[in-house]
Amino acid sequence: MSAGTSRGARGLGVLGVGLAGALPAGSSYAGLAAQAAPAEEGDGPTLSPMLRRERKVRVIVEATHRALRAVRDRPGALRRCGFVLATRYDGRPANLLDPGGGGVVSFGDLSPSTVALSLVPHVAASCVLSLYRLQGPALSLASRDGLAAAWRIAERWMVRAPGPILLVESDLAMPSATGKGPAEDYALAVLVARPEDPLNDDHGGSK
Amino acid sequence: MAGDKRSVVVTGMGVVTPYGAGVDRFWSGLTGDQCAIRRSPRFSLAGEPALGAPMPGAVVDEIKTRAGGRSCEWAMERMLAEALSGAGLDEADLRSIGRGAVFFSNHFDGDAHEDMTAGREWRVDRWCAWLQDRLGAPEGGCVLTGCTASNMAIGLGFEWIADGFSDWAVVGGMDLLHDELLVEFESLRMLSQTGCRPFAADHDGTILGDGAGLLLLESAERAEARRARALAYVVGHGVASDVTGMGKLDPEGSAVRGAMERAIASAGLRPSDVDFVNAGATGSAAVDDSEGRALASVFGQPGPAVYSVKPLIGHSIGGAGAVEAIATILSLRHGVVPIALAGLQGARPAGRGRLDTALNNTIAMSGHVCSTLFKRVSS
Repeated sequence: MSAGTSRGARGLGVLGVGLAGALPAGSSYAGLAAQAAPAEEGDGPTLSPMLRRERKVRVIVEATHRALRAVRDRPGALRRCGFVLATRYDGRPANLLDPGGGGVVSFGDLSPSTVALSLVPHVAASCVLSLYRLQGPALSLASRDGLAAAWRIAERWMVRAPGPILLVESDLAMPSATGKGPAEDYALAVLVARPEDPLNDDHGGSK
Repeated sequence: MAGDKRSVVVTGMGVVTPYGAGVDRFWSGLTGDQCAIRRSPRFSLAGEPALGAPMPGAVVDEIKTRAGGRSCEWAMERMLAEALSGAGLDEADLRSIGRGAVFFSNHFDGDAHEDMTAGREWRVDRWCAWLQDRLGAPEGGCVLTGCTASNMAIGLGFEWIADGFSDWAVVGGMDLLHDELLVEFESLRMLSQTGCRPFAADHDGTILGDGAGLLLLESAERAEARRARALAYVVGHGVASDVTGMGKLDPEGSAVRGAMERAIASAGLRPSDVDFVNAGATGSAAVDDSEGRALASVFGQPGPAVYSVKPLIGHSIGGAGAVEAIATILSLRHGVVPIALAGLQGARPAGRGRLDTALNNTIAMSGHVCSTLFKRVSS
């Protein structure tokens, strides 16, 4: 492989980092985020008008695009790539959705409910899989531990399925209905692999 | 079990379905061919009673009386108690048998609905965290992969134990009916107004139903050491992603085929070893077409018996994978495939016989596909 690896905190090689938005104050991943690839012109694939309206989806795709820079032209590596999205949610009332929403044009228009909130990361994960054609094991989970939870899954998946894994931490900051203004969205994406596993495009193994 | 992985057994199960709470009641409903789908005045769409598979009125009354109407809390308590009791354990015992993990799915939390609209705090991983805190399992996560979520949770628990990261895992999922859930799935144009008819020529969508399931997995070695009754082996797990596009599935079923093949291969078995399949079979054309082609491709003809419980109890989204895993295990234990699906070419008929190995499929319109393989425990 040509992509250089740096040693991650838990022994996984970090192949790329992407950040969209700003990390929450006090995040323990400031050092990792400092490695983030800079924004590029025409940053990311074209999203449908509906998805473009979804700020959550948009930041996750932007961060993903930057993290995948090293492998974007390697369809074999993308095909083998696993994906774990870990969504944090701090329960702040400011994260409520607009209760006046009518028909579903956008997930941001869904009335306030837990299913609306849980569908947002579900849709974002689906969007990343189909845009980048990632066909390794994929998981979206909600965890207060964010990236650390995704990282644990990646380490354990690699016991069974050597191959790159895209990890994304985001949160469920949603448009506010309480007059506090929209919360900040962010996504931190990290592409990891075991340093000893080359990203051969013709390697077809998968979980 | 292939390779040097640890064997994993199911030692406890708890379930809440439209028949009410309890594994025995669930099996009795399935084998009695009791269709729980009806129009209920408790739920409405556009001002009309909505078609769904809700729990009986007597159970709803019990929830009001005993749990102040908080149905999720009631379901969680009932399932946990049933699963632990069946496994011959209490919560303290469970903590003492080694390291644990919890993977649990919940997309709609009816108890939290009022809390949220009132601006009170709520956590998206609330019920998973509730289990983790209650059982002293620091590791785990709330799986949010839609219709595959609790099958995925079972697979994660299985892998955690098989690979030696945990000694036990509590896994499952829950999505109980609520007006809000119906409205949002209707908005997404996923509901049938007439019934759930997987693989039928006139299938036109799914029907939502109350559903929650919880399973206790243990390493076979530990379960044997404490002389626990094993209900089934979990022997394989496969996942795949359909990348056809948002809200679309490959009509050729490439991802469904991949998930089934991986589940079977990970157990060191062949497709011909599979006796029956509990299909994802939501009744929507996209899912049924993709899964039908995949089943034909993996198994050929005559294929194994293929069935779905959704025509009787509806689709419980994040709960479906666990509820249907329990149906699959009960079918293995009783040697009965309770329901035949019309319209699926080449599948063996349902019936009674020696059933050793069964797949549990789940397919989400988001492209997440998951298949888990169970094996009968010899008496």
